[in-house]
Amino acid sequence: MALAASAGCAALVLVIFLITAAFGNRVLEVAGLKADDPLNVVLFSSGVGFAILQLLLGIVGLAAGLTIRSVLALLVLLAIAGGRGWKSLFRLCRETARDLSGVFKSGVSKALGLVILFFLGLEGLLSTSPLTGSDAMHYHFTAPLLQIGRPEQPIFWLTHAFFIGLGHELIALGLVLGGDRLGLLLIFFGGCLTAVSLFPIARKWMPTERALAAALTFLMTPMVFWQISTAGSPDIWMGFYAVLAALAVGQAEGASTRRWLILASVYAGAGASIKYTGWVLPAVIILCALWITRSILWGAACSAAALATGVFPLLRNLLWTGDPFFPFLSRWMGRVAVNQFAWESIQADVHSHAFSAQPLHVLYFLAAITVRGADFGLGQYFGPAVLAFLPLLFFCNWRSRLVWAATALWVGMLLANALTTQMARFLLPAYPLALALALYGAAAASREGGAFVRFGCAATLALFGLFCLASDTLYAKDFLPVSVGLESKVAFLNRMAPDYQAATFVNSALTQRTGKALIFFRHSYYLRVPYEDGDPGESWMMNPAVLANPQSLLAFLKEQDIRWIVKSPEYPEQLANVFEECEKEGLFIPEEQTETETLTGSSRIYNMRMAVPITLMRVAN
Amino acid sequence: MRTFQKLGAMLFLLWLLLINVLYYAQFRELAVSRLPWLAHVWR
Repeated sequence: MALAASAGCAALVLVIFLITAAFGNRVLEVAGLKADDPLNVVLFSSGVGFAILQLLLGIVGLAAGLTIRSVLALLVLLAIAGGRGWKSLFRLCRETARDLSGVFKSGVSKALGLVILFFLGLEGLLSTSPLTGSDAMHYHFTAPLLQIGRPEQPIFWLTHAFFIGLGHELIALGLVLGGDRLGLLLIFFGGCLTAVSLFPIARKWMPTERALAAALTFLMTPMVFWQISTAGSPDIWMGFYAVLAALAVGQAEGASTRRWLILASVYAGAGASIKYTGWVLPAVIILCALWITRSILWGAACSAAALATGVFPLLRNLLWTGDPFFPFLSRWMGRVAVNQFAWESIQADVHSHAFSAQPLHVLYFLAAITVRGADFGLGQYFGPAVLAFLPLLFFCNWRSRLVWAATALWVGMLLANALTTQMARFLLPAYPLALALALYGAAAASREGGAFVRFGCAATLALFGLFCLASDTLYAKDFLPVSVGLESKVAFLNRMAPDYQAATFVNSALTQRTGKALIFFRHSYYLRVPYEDGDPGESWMMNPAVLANPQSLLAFLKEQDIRWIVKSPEYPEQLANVFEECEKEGLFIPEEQTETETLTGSSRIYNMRMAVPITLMRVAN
Repeated sequence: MRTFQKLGAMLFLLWLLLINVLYYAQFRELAVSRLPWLAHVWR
């Protein structure tokens, strides 16, 4: 049954892909852009299609709300607008299949193809398991879930709700049409598209077998494995758009093909629409366009193209808060009073704990991402290949525009990250390009550098391959039973989803009762009753400076129609005094109590659990 | 020229060795948390 439902969702993803690719193909035909290879045309088409689809979903979501009816109408309209693009798409798919049969001629290619299929299958299966990713249960899926069905509104009690970009609209599309399974499968599909778009880049730089090895290395890298299967974060879409932007710049070799720079800007804008950090993509592409064309006019045209696909989330935040990058510019602009505790919590959330802007530390960060990854936002899960093969970049052909574009995008994202957050995890969109360049260097050096270099590169990759096989399968072990239907969804969520037991308790306790609940646990995706987050670190509204006494707290609760307090197990430190005072004065009346078990520690892969007593209290009238 | 090439290759191999050792060493804690018997082998 689980497999049948997953197959249904996979079929839906395929239909969405075909619609977007046909529509994108039609757009490219109208724009007069024809790529050099059928696979590239399909990739460029789907990139344009998804960029426009996510933008339209954002507009419809804000204006009317995403419902089954509005989403289906949008997809049907895109399918019709695809027109002749459908015919071209099927022809291109046939040509691509013919090309690919040539790719898998040799025994090595066939073996690599089988391993790629194994990892894709594993990642696909994992992405069909119920949502358990921590950030996804906190906001990537929670905010879209709260927004769908009605015109989108700002959620001031969830700080991260303002980080919702157009990638989250694809999650919302999944939630509307097929639930979190479809949302996760769409993210997995974004990962597949990224791996497939890495292949033609790698193929331009190295023999086919090595290009396949590059795609395989990307797919089995623990960071990618986690991000495209269970994490529930849409960041991989930015990686897809970044690779397409590089590929498009690579196509713009002559003056007559400068329109590719506009297309590259469209992809860069689409990447920027995923999250704030993505704005480095349009910045780099516009600099590339200015460098290549030496024309302000082309630079302006590229800027307009990037803004068209990327600016929507900024406009929405400007409308809601007066700050397009809310809350990061709120010191200078905006009309929302920023709660200092939430601001500090956001700062801690987007900076690695070893962050420092000292010039020497920035240099140290660049080297330590890989080998001291735990200090810098999980950089160790990217593997050693990029750092290990870094010295071999000298062997790349630096006369190629594609090499320059890929390097500029990679270095741009790396430097922006090093100077602002030093969170390696945010470098996922740069990883496919960095990996392709590093493996290009290794391939070129292996050709020219003799047996020692060849052996060193092969041994490093083989060792990493074995490490990935072991760690990925070990990680998958916890998810496979539910994916193939051997474990029930509830049993799996009880075991793997943080705060699921707390959410279940609140759901059952408040189903028949009216009024919102104020909660203090982070992972609220599975709550199905009205609620607000009470943690001053997660809510702009829970300001300890304002809620300093029981009277102001009670007035706030009344204003928000909050009638229930879910204490689990203690109150946040900054608000503990006032809440405890209310308890002592009998203003919060305990009604139900239970003890739950939840995952704790920095990551659930350590499998650390703790018991959490939860008390449901009624707010006295 | 050939000597320089060999020296470069040797230096690169040493670099690879360093990166690989540093890279895999950081997973000890995680590996032992999932596979406790590893603590006896990987000290």
